[in-house]
Amino acid sequence: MSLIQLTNVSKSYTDPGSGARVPVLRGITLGISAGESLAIVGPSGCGKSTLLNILGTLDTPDEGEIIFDGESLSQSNAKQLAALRSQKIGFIFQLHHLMPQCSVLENVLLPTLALKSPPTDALQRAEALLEQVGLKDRMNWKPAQLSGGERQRVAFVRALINQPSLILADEPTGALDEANAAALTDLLLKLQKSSGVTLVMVTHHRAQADRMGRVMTIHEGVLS
Amino acid sequence: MKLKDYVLQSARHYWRGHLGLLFGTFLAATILTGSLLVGDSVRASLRRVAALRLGQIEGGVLGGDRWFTESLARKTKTAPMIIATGSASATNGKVRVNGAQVLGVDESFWKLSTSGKAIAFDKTSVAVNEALARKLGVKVGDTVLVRLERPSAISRDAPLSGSTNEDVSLRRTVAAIVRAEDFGAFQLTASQIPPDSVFVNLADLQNQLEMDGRVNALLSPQFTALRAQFEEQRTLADFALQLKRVAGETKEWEISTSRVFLDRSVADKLFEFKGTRGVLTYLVNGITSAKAGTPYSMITGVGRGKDDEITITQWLADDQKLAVGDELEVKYFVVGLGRELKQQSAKFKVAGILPMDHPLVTKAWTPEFPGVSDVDNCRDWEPGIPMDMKAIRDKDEDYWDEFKGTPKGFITLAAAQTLWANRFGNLTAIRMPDEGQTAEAKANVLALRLNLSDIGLVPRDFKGEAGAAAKGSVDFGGLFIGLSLFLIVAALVFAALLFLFTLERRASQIGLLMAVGWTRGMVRRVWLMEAGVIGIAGVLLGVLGGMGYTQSALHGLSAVWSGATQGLPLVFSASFGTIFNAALGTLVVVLLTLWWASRKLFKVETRDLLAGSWSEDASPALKKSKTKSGLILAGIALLMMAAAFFMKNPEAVAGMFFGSGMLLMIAGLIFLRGWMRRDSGVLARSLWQIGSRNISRRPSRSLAVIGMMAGGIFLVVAVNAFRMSTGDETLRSSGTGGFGLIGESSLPVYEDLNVKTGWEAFGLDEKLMPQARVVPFRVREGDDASCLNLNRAQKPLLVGVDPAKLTGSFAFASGSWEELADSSFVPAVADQATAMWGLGKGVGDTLDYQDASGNTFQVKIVGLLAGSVLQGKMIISEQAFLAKYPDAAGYRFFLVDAKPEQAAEIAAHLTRQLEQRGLALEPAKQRLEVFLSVQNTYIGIFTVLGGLGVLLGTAGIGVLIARHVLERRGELGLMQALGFQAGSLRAMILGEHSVLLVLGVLLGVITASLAVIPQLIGSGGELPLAFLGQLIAAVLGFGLVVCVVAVSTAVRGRLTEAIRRE
Repeated sequence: MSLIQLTNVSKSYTDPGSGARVPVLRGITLGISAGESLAIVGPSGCGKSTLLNILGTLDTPDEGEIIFDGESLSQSNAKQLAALRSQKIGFIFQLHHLMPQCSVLENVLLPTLALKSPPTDALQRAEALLEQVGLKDRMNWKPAQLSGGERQRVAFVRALINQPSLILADEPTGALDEANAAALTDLLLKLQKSSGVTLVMVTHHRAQADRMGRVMTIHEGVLS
Repeated sequence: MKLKDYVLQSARHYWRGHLGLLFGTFLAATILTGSLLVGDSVRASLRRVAALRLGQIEGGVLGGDRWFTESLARKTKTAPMIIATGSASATNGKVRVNGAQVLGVDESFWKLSTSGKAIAFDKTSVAVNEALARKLGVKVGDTVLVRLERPSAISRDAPLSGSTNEDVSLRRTVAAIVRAEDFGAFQLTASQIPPDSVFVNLADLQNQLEMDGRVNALLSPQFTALRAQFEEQRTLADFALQLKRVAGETKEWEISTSRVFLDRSVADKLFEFKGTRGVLTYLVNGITSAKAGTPYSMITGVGRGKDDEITITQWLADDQKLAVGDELEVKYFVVGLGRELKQQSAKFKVAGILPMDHPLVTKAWTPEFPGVSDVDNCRDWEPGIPMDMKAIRDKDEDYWDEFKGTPKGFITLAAAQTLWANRFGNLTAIRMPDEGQTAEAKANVLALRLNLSDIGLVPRDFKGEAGAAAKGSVDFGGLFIGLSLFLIVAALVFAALLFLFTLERRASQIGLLMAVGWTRGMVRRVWLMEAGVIGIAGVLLGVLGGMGYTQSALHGLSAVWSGATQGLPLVFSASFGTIFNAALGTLVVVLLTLWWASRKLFKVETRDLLAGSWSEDASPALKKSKTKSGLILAGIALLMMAAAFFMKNPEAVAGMFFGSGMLLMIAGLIFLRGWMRRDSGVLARSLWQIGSRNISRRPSRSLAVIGMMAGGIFLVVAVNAFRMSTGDETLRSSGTGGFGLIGESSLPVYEDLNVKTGWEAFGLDEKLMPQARVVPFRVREGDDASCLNLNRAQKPLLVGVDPAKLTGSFAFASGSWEELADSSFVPAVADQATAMWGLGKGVGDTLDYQDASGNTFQVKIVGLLAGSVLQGKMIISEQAFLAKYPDAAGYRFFLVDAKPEQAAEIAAHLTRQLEQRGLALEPAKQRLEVFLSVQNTYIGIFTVLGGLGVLLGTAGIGVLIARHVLERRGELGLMQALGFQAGSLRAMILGEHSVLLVLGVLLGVITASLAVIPQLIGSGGELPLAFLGQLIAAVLGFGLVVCVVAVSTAVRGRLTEAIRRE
């Protein structure tokens, strides 16, 4: 059974110049199983990020249906979607988006504040995850004191803190050099395997994509 | 980590970014707290004045022209006193102060002062308060001359009330200068202006006024006790009633009054006794028959019978050789309005002749007429009516010597009342059977039947009235908030602009929080909490700033803005409640503003926030609808402007122009918004063209700044158009009513100053006076309800005038003088400002007053005068006035119609000749200017505070530049990398923002100019054009400086670094 199932999902945007509708995704049907790792590749502007946003409920399709964990999201309101994101989805962006005012540990714990009743073991889990990514000794540091790779590692841990079922990574190593990117990809896959979480990663690095369980290509809004 | 930790950490981390919010909140809190504390301080100052003027007094009784026994005060354990109005002058005669309070007091009075300090002086000296001492320039040991009127038991307007000019002059040494705390501030009317008071020894004043043992006021430290005891202690003497046994066989008591005519209310109650009959004795001018005539005789009306018959005395029969059946004609005066006397006559047939030793032929029928009964020779009579002394014969003198006031004829009471009843009464005595009681027992029985309230002697709650007056006073807190509103709005916009700046820079954080599962509401709440932390800090600082603001405002109100507080000694006062409310209010307003201002940002999609790619571009349909609404608004504005040309009411015209100007400004902003969002379709080929595109990057942001400047300039200029001026004061429709002079007299003037008898009474120039027309007003003491009194008038001054004398004068906002003629109720005309602001009333509203008998009656406002010199008064017809206050004598308020070139001469002449009456006249224009200065002062305050708001709005341009440059550092860096000089880039940014500055100023100036067209056409000179010109220049200059500084600061360093970072 799929953790998430997209059926005939389409999305288009309005061209600000002409006012015409420009299709971005065209009738995408996709099933992603629990624990799977999937890479979506494709050229710039092909709709990778839009697909990822739809998977992460940050965007809604114009047509088609999304079923997450057996439940259709078409009737869910913003509050329910926010709750779903906080409990079941973790995000990793190309830019780390860490809060400069918060320490590493606080950044990691940020998603727990969205939960109605934050887990009592959140702190221990955060420390454990930070230890796993080699940042336990820096958990009271501020993001400004970290390197680019270290900041992205914090973002990985932040995505995992609420024990989500799905992690969506949008070019997570896009802002890093090759060595750092490779190391971080290793770390991401290691974390995915150890936690059993489903990972969907958007990238245009073919080498990184090939390390994932399944690779799909998107071209002119069509997934293949 | 908890939410509050996150909020506090964020607030701490971004404190620099929040400085603008802190400053804006500080400013808003400063102004709001300061404004409310100004209100607190003015109220506290008024309370202080009230406390000083009343001391420990809670209640009292004011008799006015009703005098009662001093023992009534003693028995009720109150302080007896005489309150009179007079004039005081230093013996060098250089300064005379009219309208001074002359207070007859004893030691019990001083015990009621705030300090309780006794001020000792004997019968040869007086004490004066500080205000009077200052005006007269006297000190202890100097001599002052005090002049006041000797009171009459009966109204001086009444026929047979005696001479009118019974002045008393006291030359006394000043024994003490009384401080405000020691009752120097004593007065019973609610006013912040210290009175001019002279304190005279009570016994001394009673003696001088020939009012031994009598007073006209009493004061008590306990109102409740006074109310309970007051009526209990009454005696006949308190009603000015005398009881005497009638000599002879009739065995009757006679009740008469020193007021000559018995009050109707008193007489009605006395008639409740069995066997009572009334008596009306009158001094007639002559009794003539076909055979001869007899001058000046008393005739008594008593009993029943034929109303056309008269029973005469033998003396009269002998004098004219009359017999039963002969016809007599009786000539007599009747009183009209004022002291107007008309001679009338009535014919009677002689029905009988009484011998001179008949028991009925006695002087007991005749009351004590002042100026008549108390003189030995009838040629010395001064009855207060014109007399032909040559008509008095020797035999009349002999009659007086032998029979005094014994009537020469008797008619029925009904006939007498038909002829001689007047507003003062219709009986001179009441007789009732003598059942053998002692005089004391009878007096007690009679007194118990009467109530002092029947003659208007009612205890008043002075403390309560003072509290209500201070409570309902002008709300300076609200006023200052109103006057500072634009500054507050500017501060809020400033805070909101800077907050949004911070918010936009952290937009990706909002996106991230939403991506990790926070709801929009939660994120927004957290942001507002963060703003709240800064807000609390700003508010706390603002409270301190507010105290400073209050001190500055109080300083201003005591100096340059003193027109608004009219002499009120201001004290600083700050209550915790006010501070708390102001702080909380500011915080709530700031947070609501930020919540509103950030609404769009929180609607942006999460993905866009994360990508930093959101914009506020409107859809083409929205653009079209906004442009359409702009056109509609402009159309409405032009229609309003056209309609205004057909309106007559100047205030309505001004209002229409103001409104249309405002609408045009809003329409202008809408058009500008459309212009900013336009797609020019022109290829940008110059740096300037590229720069101009940037203006429209964030239209709302740019419009906020343009709107602030335009709105500020519009408000400051347009509100100044409402500055009031006297205009052409010679016009009947002007605020002066076309009258050249206005004034009051300390003592009533009884004579008509428009006729020869009046001129003769005061030795007025018979060549000059025909050039003037004097319109006199009767005055019932009350509170000044004009804008010069900060207290809410509880009982506004009531004046009575013949409305026919004012027809065609003054402009009415509603109603006319003719409406005062309605006799089915008591209609009144009031100045519009007095009614609206002083009393909180309008046309159709009523005010309660007590008539002379203590009964409550309502005065209904039927007309409102537009901006007149008659502020502070309720004007009713003289007829209605006299119906309610029949005893009110003379006139104390005057309008004088005189040609401008003669006004000064007439004023000087009248003031000199009526010096004894304490007449003081001034140009009506001058008085009107004083009234108008209050409103103009408010506009002045608004102009200063509004001007500051405009400058703050201008400072917003600096924020705008900083935001734009920081957002565009990358592209600016790119342009630099492409070879553009830093100076060119600075010029580009400066140019694009200077356009905003100029657009804002132009929009404000153009729309404001349209709003002030009526003033520019009418009296452009009244607009402070110089100040407004300076303001506009300051806005442009300051704006440019802000732009230069902001651009230089923001475009500092290597912009290419920004590219590298990106």
